[in-house]
Order: sequence, then C-alpha cells, then structure tokens
Amino acid sequence: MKVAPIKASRSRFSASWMRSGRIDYLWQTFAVLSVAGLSWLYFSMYGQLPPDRNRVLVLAFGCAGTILAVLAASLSVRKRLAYQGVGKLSAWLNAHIYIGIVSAFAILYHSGFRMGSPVPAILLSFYWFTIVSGVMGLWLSRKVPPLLTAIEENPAIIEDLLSVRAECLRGMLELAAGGSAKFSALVKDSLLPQTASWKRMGRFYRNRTTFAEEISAFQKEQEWALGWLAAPEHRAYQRAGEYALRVNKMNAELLLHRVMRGWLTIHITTTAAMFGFAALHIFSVLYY
Amino acid sequence: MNEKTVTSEILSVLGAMELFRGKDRDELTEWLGPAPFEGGAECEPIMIGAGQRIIEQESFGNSFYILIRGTVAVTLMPEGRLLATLTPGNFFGEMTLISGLPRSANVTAVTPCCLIEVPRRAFELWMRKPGAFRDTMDRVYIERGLANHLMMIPELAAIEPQLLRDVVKKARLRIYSKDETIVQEGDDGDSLFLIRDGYVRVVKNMAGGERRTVAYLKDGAYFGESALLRAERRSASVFAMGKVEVIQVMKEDFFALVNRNERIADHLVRIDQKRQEAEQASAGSTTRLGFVGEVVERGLVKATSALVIHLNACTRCGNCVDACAELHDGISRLTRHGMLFEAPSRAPQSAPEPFLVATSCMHCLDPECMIGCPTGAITRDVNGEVVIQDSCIGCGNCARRCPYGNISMADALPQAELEKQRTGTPTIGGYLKFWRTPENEPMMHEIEKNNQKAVVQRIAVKCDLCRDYNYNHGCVHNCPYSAIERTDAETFLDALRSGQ
Ligand code: HEM
Ligand code: SF4
Repeated sequence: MKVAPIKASRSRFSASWMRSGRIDYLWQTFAVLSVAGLSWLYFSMYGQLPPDRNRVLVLAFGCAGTILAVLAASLSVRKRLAYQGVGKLSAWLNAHIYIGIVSAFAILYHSGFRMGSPVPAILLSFYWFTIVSGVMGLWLSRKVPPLLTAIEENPAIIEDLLSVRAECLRGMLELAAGGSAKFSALVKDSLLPQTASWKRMGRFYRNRTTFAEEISAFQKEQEWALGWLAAPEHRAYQRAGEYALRVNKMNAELLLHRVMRGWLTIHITTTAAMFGFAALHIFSVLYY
Repeated sequence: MNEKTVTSEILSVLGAMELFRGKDRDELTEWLGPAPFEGGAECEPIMIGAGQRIIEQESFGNSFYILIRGTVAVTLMPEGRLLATLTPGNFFGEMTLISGLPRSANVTAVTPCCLIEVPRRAFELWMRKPGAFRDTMDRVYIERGLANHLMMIPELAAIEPQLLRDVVKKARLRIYSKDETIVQEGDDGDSLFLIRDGYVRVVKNMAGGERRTVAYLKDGAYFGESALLRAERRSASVFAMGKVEVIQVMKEDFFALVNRNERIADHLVRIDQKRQEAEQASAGSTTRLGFVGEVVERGLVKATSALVIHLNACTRCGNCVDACAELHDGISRLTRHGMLFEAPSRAPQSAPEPFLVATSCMHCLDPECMIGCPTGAITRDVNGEVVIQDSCIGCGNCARRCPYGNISMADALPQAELEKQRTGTPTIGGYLKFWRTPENEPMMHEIEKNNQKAVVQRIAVKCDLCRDYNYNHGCVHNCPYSAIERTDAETFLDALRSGQ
C-alpha cells in the first residue's frame, strides 16, 4: 500500500544536501548585480563629480552599507527570538551571507580604501573582523562537519562528550589508584599526557582513522611500558591506555565543537563592537 | 455514554447485531458506559447530515463506528467506486484500529445518520473479552482485509462479487512474529500469500551455499504465486521481519479465481516475470538492496515522518534542539543520537553519505506505542501524527513499547523549573577548556551537573510534528544549514534510488 505522507507536514529528503536552489541563484544574482553597480558607481563616478556630489555618493555608500549590515544582523533576531518566524533559518542565513558581502563592498567604497582617524579605524577593523570571521565561519561550516563525522563513533552533543570524557578519565584514575606504585606512576607520566596530546589529536584529523585503528597503533607504541609491569597488570594498563586514547579522541571532537561555537562568538562579538563604534561614528559625523 | 443517552433504539439495533450476540440490555449499557479512566475518551452517539464525510480514505483515525440509523456509502478513491452501502446494524472503521494502517476507503452518509463512535481504548477493551465481538471482528477483519486488498488490484475490479466472497471466506489470516519462516525454499507450493501488514524478507540459496536476500516485500505485496503458476517447488524462503500478518489463499481457491478471469492470470504472470527479472538483476549487485534492507531491518521503513540529519552538513550547533525545546515547554522532543546510516552514493567513486535518524518520533505506520495505553491518551490524529493527549497519567507504557526510544518521560514541572534545566550556552571560558585534565580540575562537577538534569518521570513526551504551529517543524525550520529534514520512508528511499 502506498502510504500518503502525513498530509499537513512537509515530507522531503534530498540525497545530496547543500544544493543550490532557485532562491540561491536569486540571491547570487542580487549580490553580483549589487556589487557590480556599487563598483561602477565608485570607479566611474567617484572623483568625476563635483566635491559636494562626491560627498553625497560617499554618504550613500555609507548609508547603504549600514542598512545592509543591520539587515544582515537581523538574522540574530530570527534565530534567537522568533523560532516560528517567517522563512526557514537556512534561507535567512543565505540572505545574511549575500547581504553581508554586498554591505562589505558598500563600506569598502565608503571608506575609500583608507582607515582614517581613530574612531573610523577601529570601526573598520571591527567591521572587517566581522566579515572575515563570517567568511571563516562559512568555510568552517563546510569543512568541520565531514571531519567530525569521520572521527565520531556516534554523533554526540557537547554535554554528553563532557560527561563521557569525565567518565573515561575517572575510569583511568581508578585503575591507577588500584594498581601498584609503578603502575600509578606509569599511568600518570605516560598515559595522562596522552589525553591532551595535540599530536595525537592531529592524527585523528589528518588520517581520519577510526578508534579501533588508533588503539592498536597506540598499544604497540606503549609496549615498552609493559616490560616495567608485572604480568597481571598488563591488561589493566592496556585498558587505561584505551581510556587515555578515548579521552584524546573526545578532546579532538570537543575542539571541533568549540571551534564551531568559537568562531560564532567572535563573529557576534565583533558585530556588537562594530555597531557600537558605528553609532559613535555616525554621531560624530552628524554633530561635529 | 450513560443510561440516558443509551436509547432503546440503540439497544434494539445493537441487540440484533452478530457482534453483541448474547448480550442483554444491561450488559450493552455497561459496555457503552463511561471510560474507565478520568479524562479517557468514551463512546458517543453522533448525528451526521446527508452527504457528510465520516471517514476519509488514507487518513488515520482512532474510532470505530456502529450505524444505528440511516445509510452510508463506502467508496474507493480516486474514481469513487462504490464498494458497499451499509444500513443500520452495520459497522465500519475497525480495520485501522486493528492494523494501524490508514483508512482504506471513504465513508459518506447517504441519508442523515445516527452512529455510535467507539474510541480506540473502548474498542481495545472489547476486543480483549472473549466472545462474539472478538470472534466476529477477527472474521470480518480477514474478509474485509482480503477484499480490500483484492479490490486494490485493478485487474480484479471486474471480478464477480460472489466469487470474491467465496475466496475471501476460505482465506486464512496468519500472524507471524519476527524471523519466523512463512515459506521454506524447496517446499511444495500449496498457497498464495498476501501481506496485510508488515515486512518480509525473501531469501534464496545461491550457488556456493550463499544465502542471499533478494527482496523485501511489504503490505500490499503478495508472494508464493510463482510456485503455483509454474507448478514448481518454492524457489525462495520468506521470513517475517517483525510482526507480519498475511492472508493465505489456498491453491484450489487461487485457481478458481485465476481460471475464471484471464486478466488476473495475465496480471499474475506479468508480476511473476518482473520479479524474476529483478531477482536476476540484483544477483550482480547487493549494494542497493543492502541499503534498502538496512532501512527495512532497522525499522525506518515504517516511518511516515522520520527526522533525518545529514551529518556532513550538520555543524552540531544544536539550534534544532533548542528550537524544539523553545516550542514545547522547554523540553526538546528530539535528541541528536539515533540510528546511523550510510546511503550509497550514485556517483561510482564518491563516498557514501552518512546520516543520522535522530531520536524523535517517526510516527510509524503501525505505532506499537499506542497498544495498551490505559487511558487512551496516545492517539493517532487524522493527519497521521501520533500524539499524547492531556489525559496521560505517566505510566510509561508507550515509552517502554516504542522500539526506538523515541518517547521519553519527563517531569511536568512549572515553567521556571523547566527553564533552569535547559542547557545554557557556554561562557567564553567554556570554549577554552577543551584540554582540561584531572590535575587542573576534575570534572566531577560536570557529571553531577549532568545527573541533576535527570528528571522525575511524570508524563510522556514526544514529537507532535509541531501541530500547534501549523506543522511548521521547529527543528527543520530553525536549522541554519538545511541539514535536517522530515521524511517518510517512501520519499526517502525514492530520493536515494534516484540520487536526487
Ligand atoms: C555586515 C556584515 C555582517 C554582520 C553584521 C553579521 C552579523 C551576524 C550575526 C549577528 C550573526 C549571529 C546570529 C546569531 O547566532 O545570533 C551572524 C551569523 C553568521 N554569519 Fe554573519 N554577519 C555579517 C556578515 C557575514 C558574512 C559576509 C558572512 C559569510 C560570508 C557571514 C556568515 C555568517 C554565518 C555562517 C553565521 C552563522 C549562522 C549560524 O550558525 O547560526 N556573516 N552574523
Ligand atoms: S540545527 Fe541543523 S546544523 Fe544545527 S545541530 Fe541541528 S541539524 Fe545540525
């Protein structure tokens, strides 16, 4: 029996995600035309006009850039305050990116490729930080998920990762506490540093090895330590090693999670600072 | 219903029905009486105007109807073929309650009608009592089920009703549990099977002793006809993949049907040929069947609305979970754990696409969670979504029954408490702590913090498809990267097959 999908809900599945749709092309066209228009205005008109007209043009670039930046920032309102807001958040993000790019050109032409006095200089620095961090974030949002998928055994949320990591560490320390003095010393000096080893984390990223592959390599590396221990402690040491490696792998995952959160923190912070200085800049232009 | 609403007209109609044979007026009044739990749904008399639709084909429902006065017509879409006209003392709507499948036909009032609407919970209680009601229902279920199936096959539309009725009467309903053998390869073919509900796996012995799954069949499909048509032994084994209901039509009855109607014979031969071709084609490649098999084996194929996350697009930002919690009293109805799948890629060299079927109600075709809710609080809406009503008493039956862990028990806390339990965004300091080791601060407080989040079990919570928000799924609507989608099994498999 062919079953009708739940009527009122939208049922869809696209085997290849991130495909450009019609709306994307519209935004891309908007961005290309706007940037072309702004560039034409700047390169063919600016400097050819009388000074007062030039000033109007520069101001117009500034106004356009500011309005577009405010529009871009409205993504935050949709994202945090309007969960049932008009349009999917992905559509808003799309708009955000293209509007942000056009605004960058408007501001670039407004500044005339100069930094100027301290307030505009700081404002522009924050502005460019915002743009660069946005582009970075976009790049990361394409690059990090496949990497995470490759190294995760099962997708986990940051809170789960933290608690499982803590459990693993606890397991390792309990084994150390229950063993001989030599055993404890070895765990502390040799395994504990492995939990936060950047080199090892880098291997997960580079080689995209599975945990099972890494663990056998790791145990080979640690064979020397077994010579120091009595035979009954060998298995316990290997288990402690598994814990250490697991913590390391989770640190690798956590780092990616935090990179994904971190760039957005930077993007939002620089946006807030940029708007603060923009207000100051506008105020100073109007009143002085 | 109470003594006042149970009129003598109702009692006399019910008294004359086979379903209630042997029941006196007091017993009938008691059967129709108030729901066993406070807030539970109870039997209601309803009045319907001429021309009004009582049941919509392909919708889901939670009621069974007994016609007391008036006439109703049962029609099959899309062409509106009239299947039956029912008069007082007839009943309808039981198929969906028993099988969990959508309604198979439209039912419309021809004249003004009076009906008794029996809610699922009362129906289930009646079905538990041995006696005429259960026996009649079991028989009718087979007869109507088989008749419905046969009528879906266009070639059978023209068949003489009497012949169909004879076949239906002789057919048997067989119920198999997971992994049970329905048909054994090499056995004599003595019957044809029609799948009424569930999935079966067709397995063939290949050269070299390999046992290969050559097909998965689901409700609506039939098997076993090849052995009959070719007078051969069974060419493959068939196993139940969960609870499976099949209708068995014996060889003699099958030939009675085929011999009387050439179109049916042609149709069956064509289907048989197609199946042989498909089996031969699949002998060379196992990948796609392998994936379809995985989808079937892990139950995703029952989904009418599964939540799928494309892992290579998901940045793990958690916005979907936050949005869900925000729209549902602070408790998210989805967690980003679940079944991992790797869908084969269409391009020969490219890597398979990984995705996660998140832990969130799939609104299964035959929701196991709905069986045995004491208050009847878990229901299926006409649109198909499985929802928990306010009459939930928190017994946890549905959560235990759901094979996918998609229902959780949560404390019905006041809003302020719920807010506290939500996972907050970490501080900037939090970002810098990924390397923490036990020396610079054991993470015990994190474990404790996590443990604190475990909530007292009080009410069942699950995804309701954001029905209060016009089905604008909060999770999908709020994913910045288009990484999450709700899909039914058919769309999902079709998309993967066509590599869209
Ligand atoms: C005028 C320039 C821009 C401003 C004012 C701005 C502001 C913001 C703000 C406030 C957010 C935060 C939303 C939130 O989480 O509350 C955000 C998110 C984001 N921005 Fe920008 N942005 C700008 C330009 C850009 C550009 C040029 C790009 C990329 C090319 C970009 C990419 C992003 C991305 C990917 C997000 C993340 C959305 C998410 O993960 O939820 N932004 N932006
Ligand atoms: S909102 Fe989208 S990107 Fe974020 S976690 Fe959910 S599915 Fe992944």
